[in-house]
Amino acid sequence: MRCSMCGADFEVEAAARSCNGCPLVGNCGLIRCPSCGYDNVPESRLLGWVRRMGCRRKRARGEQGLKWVGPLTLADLPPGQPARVVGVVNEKEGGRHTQKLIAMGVFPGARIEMRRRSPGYVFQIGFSQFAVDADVARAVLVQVDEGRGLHAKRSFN
Amino acid sequence: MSTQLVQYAPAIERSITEISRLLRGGYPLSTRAVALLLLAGDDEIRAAVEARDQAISSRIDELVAKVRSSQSQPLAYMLAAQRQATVERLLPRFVRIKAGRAVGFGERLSQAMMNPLTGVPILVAALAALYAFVGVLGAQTLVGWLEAGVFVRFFNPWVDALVNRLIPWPVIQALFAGEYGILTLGIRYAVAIILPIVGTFFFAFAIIEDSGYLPRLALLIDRLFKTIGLNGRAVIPMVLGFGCDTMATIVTRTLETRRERVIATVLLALAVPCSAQLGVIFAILAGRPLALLIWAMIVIGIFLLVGFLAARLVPGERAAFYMELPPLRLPSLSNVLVKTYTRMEWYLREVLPLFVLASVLIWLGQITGLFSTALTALDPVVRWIGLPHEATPAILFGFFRRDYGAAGLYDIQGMLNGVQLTVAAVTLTLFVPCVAQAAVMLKERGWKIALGAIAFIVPFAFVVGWGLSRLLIWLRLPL
Amino acid sequence: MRRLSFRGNAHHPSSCHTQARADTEGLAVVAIIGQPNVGKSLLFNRLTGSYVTVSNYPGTTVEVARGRARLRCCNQALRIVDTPGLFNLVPTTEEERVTRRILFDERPQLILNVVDAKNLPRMLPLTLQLIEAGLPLILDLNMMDEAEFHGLTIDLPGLEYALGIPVVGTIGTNGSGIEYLRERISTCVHPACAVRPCH
Repeated sequence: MRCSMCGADFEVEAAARSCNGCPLVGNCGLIRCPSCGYDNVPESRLLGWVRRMGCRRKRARGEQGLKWVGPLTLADLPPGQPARVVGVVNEKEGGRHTQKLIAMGVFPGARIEMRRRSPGYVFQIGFSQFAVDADVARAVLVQVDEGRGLHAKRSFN
Repeated sequence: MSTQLVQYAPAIERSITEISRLLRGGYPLSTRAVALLLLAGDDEIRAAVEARDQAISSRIDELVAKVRSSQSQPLAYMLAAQRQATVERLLPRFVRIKAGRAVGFGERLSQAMMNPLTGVPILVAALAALYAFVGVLGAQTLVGWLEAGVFVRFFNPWVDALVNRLIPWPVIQALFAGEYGILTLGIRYAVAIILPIVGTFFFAFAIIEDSGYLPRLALLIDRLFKTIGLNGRAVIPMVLGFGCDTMATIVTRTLETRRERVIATVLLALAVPCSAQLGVIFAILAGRPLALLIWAMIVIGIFLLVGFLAARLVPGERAAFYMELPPLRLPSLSNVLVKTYTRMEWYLREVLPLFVLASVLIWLGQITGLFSTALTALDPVVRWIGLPHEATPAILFGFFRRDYGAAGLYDIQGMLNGVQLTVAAVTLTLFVPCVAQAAVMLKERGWKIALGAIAFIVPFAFVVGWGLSRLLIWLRLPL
Repeated sequence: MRRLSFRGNAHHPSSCHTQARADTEGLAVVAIIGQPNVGKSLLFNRLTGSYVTVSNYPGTTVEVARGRARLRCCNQALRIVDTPGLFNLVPTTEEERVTRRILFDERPQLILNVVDAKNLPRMLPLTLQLIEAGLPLILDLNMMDEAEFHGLTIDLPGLEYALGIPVVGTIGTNGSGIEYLRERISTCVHPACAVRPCH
């Protein structure tokens, strides 16, 4: 977080260390900036939640999608965006879903179109629609299919 | 086989050849297919190969490990991807596609069913329609007509007279006719109370099922079900449970992990009332909307609470949700009718003997005095949850079949006040799965889980009943 | 985990002809295999005249249904086995394991691979796996009406030639193509009274 007094960026865990010796340690509800010692009021959890929801909405509308540096996954596609499958996440986590993805026909080169993102992800491959949760959607690596937007207004950039 | 339809990447083809060479023959499928399954990491096949020759098996393990480490994607996925590529190359030669179809009404309706803003109202509307059809038409109109019009007025007096004329011994008379006779109680419950309700439910369910609504509902409800340790997929056994919990317990097999199957089984046994039970409860509480609301809130609350706790207590992996959304279709009347008929036939074949058996057991219990002993033993518990002792037989019947218990409740509803009816409805909904369901639980989940579930459910149901009756009396609600 | 038994040691050639193998009642076994929700159960009902539950959602068949059908040519009885859906020869769920066990342990004389005609790209990989495995096979493209509705025209003889197995188109819901399918099954199971040759 950013200290509201001196503007220094610090990790909340680091702040806990600067509380050493304080009898209220961990229970005062304040976060002490390690550089200036100012006791910051942490962001309300409710507000944080609201803000995260807002960000998700924005991302869903595709306004932030391509600024991401990491590989694009199915979960990042806005509705109506055609894409091509590149591969699957080859970690222990993502590998668990391999059989399911095979079953749905999610293979490199396959054209895929996101249909909706909430309450779950619905995408279309060929003439079939599938519903998956975020776990499965995050395991699919995709590439945006430029120039093939069905809804030109909504395409990326 | 000289030419193969599917050519895999050179490195993979090389290892297929090496593995097939090691395998010799004698498998029910080609050695190439066995090699491919081994590469895909198939445990069953590996075990089968190992059982035949351990040395070869460990040699194969090395080969598989070597290929796996040389590839960036999981091997099973790569193999599948290459098969897919073959299909994509093959198909354009034989399949021609005319212009794509415009987004139709079906697609828009499908989207509306999954959007929480419109999907929840659609769900509520569907439930209301279901209630109007099963709860009002089935459980009130049809049951009222069959029960009062046909059985009480004509059938029962006729049977009583006939039995009295044919059989001189009162003991045997009581077996067939009278208060608990096979014909006057068993057949009457089955035909006049249970049949119309179950029939209307299965008819409505067949329509919902064939329309393709359930997978969309599964997506809508996936998040909620994740909090109770299930996922959207479980919506199908759960909804079917509102028809018959025994059938639904069999269908839990389609759930992916053991953990989900266990949680679904327990929830079905505890908090999902079957259609016969629902119909009777709707009929009993029909004139008391507040009581119906309280009953629904308590049962839903317990469903979520127990699910929430079970999700934390039952060990095992969380299963991810994925499901195909079939196109919405207009159900065909013939398929719906045939399906309703098949389910009802299954149900009656399963239920009718139990109803007759229950009558016989009660008769045996009466002449040996066991029945009254059981009634006396149960009486304090029934009084403890605030019910009069007339409700004791209904609770006792509930041990045979849950709908049987509810039907017994229907018989004595005039003697209970609003609070007592609510408490009885809640207790009967929660406690014991019927005999058939218990048997299926035992068969599907094993005795440990089945007995554990029942040992939890029965006392829990009575404790909830007790708590509710205290609460309602204290609140003095106009029920 | 139960072990696959791998009884016997015959190795099938890629056509649909095989040495007769029979179930306990002495009937030749035909197994219906396919992905979920492609109309296997409806086809089973059409072939046997009995009824198993059919729904518009995947995963309805949890039990293995068995029924009898008669061959067209000589009225000989056949055992038809309906199986739970299978995506892939590598099973992930309990039902898929059940299906695979039927394939490997009961060793049906013929496999009827039912697929959804409008979704061939997603369906055919399983068919390719079955061909790779050298199992005796007929490919049935079901729901041809829906494929037509989506604007697809499928060249069945061409596909038959390319895959090297008999290919048939059916519409389970109204029964079109079922008679021809019966004919092809007869030809494969009982080549002695073959009306038309199979590969």
